[in-house]
Amino acid sequence: MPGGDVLAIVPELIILVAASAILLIEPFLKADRTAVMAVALTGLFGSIAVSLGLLGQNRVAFAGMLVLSDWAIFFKVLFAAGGALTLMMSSDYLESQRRHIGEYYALLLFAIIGMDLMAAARDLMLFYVSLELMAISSYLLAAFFRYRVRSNESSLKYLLTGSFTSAIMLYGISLVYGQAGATNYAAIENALRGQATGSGTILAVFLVAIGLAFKVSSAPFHMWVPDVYEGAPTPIAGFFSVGPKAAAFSVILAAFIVGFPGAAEQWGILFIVLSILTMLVGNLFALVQTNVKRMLAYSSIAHAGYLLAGVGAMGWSKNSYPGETVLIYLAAYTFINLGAFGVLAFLKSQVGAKFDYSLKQMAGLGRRSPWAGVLLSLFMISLTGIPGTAGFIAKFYLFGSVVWANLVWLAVIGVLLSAVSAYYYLRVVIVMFFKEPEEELSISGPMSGGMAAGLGITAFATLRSAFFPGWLWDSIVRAFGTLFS
Amino acid sequence: MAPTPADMPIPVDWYLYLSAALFMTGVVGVLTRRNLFIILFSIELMMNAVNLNLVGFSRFHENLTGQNFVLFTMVVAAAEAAVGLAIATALFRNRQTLMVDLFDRMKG
Repeated sequence: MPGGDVLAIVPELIILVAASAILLIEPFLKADRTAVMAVALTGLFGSIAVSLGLLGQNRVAFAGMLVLSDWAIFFKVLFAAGGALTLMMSSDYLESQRRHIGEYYALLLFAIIGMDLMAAARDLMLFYVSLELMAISSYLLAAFFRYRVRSNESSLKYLLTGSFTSAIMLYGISLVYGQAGATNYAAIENALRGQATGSGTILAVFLVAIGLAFKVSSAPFHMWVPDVYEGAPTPIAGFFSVGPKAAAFSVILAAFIVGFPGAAEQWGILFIVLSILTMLVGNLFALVQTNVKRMLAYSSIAHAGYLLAGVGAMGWSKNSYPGETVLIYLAAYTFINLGAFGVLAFLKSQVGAKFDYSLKQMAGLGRRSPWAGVLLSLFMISLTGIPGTAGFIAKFYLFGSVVWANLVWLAVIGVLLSAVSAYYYLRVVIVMFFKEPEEELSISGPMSGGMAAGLGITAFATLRSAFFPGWLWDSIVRAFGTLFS
Repeated sequence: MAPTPADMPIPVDWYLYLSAALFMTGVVGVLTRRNLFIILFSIELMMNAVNLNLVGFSRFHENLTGQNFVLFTMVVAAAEAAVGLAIATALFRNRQTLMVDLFDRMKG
């Protein structure tokens, strides 16, 4: 039924209309970009509202290419919320960098459409095209300050490594098609069920896994992460650390459970190995960073390691429970990490070119700008996973499920490395509040409305989900259930 | 795997060998060359190896999914090349070189 097919992509269509409208109205605007921001936020919040209105539907659309289910809606809401927060935190920052133009908003919206479709896709073809929609928009966003060498270099590294690994992944997809004769997840499962899991299937699945491991910034495919995050605009770095990563996890969970359950043990082991490597690399390299933005990049690698432990546990135990905890972790992490990058963007827009995100310049921040200091401390504490914050609840659920899957040793490694991470997270708090600044950097203006709203929402979500994870958990379990129907 | 269809004059493994050889040429090119353009060419080579695979398998399975996929792959490859060249232009304006090992402003 064609009408029903279109209904399944209405949330994306709303964002698409907003993005196109931005590109159309932008040339007619004077210096003020409030209208662009308003259109973008209207599109994203409209998309969230419509998605929530479609909850409970279970529709297969476009000949099995994509589904509209609670699973897809969970991610649609998460991505649109993350995008809206990023935009709220961007406006001042772009203004201070004298590069406040509409393409930024449009590209971000296009990336969100790609991510939405990745989560909704039930076919390798749609998954690949939407992944590239997300990736190509991301390359351009990383290069957004095109007169700056750092931004260029960041984007180039992202593009080269990104298209190299996606070509490897595509080779894997072509081998999957060769084995199964189909690209639909369910059809692949159906075709592979009869055959023994041979080396050809495992090679194909591993190649696909490598492409996705790159997108979630797993070691040993993490080399691009610190450089890209350092050179990209700060709110965009925050967006990269949560959006594309969550989208890639949605595909890892959906495609591997639905498409390759026969090889669950093999890909489970692969993800467990990647998880250990990633946790080690992320945490150990983060220890020696003196630049807070780079430290957060390595920290996002470390968090990808924890998440991969959940994915590995899911493959190993052949049960969806660890996967559900991955979703709760993704939801919490989205808000915490966007908040942390948002504070950095605020500082950069206030202090100006002199601010290079180094730990040294953060000294005494707690006194000069108490709000920024308190908020950044909250996010750091939450990233560490100290009780009373969303970060603790997320880690508690995730490592709990890893233990449940009889991988106690993996959970022990994760918890020990989380303890190590306290050193580099809490160092930021100590420097901000207990160290005398070497040079006075003036923080002139107050926080603007958008920035204050963005940081307020992230802080609220960080604290609130620490006390009321019940409804979130229920909706995640419901969403995961729709994956198999 | 199903046996090769009777009306397929070239067996499917020949496609696989050629595509694997092309793909490895591309991988080696990406890993060893220093010039940005050659690296972009090598990535194109990898994607075209995939296209060959898809077309071969499409013939083998006697369905059109693979050939549909090739159309999408080609469009994506073109978009990627366009963005890659745009970034190369911006970078060349700032640095006057296209040797990727010289782009090392950020380390650690």
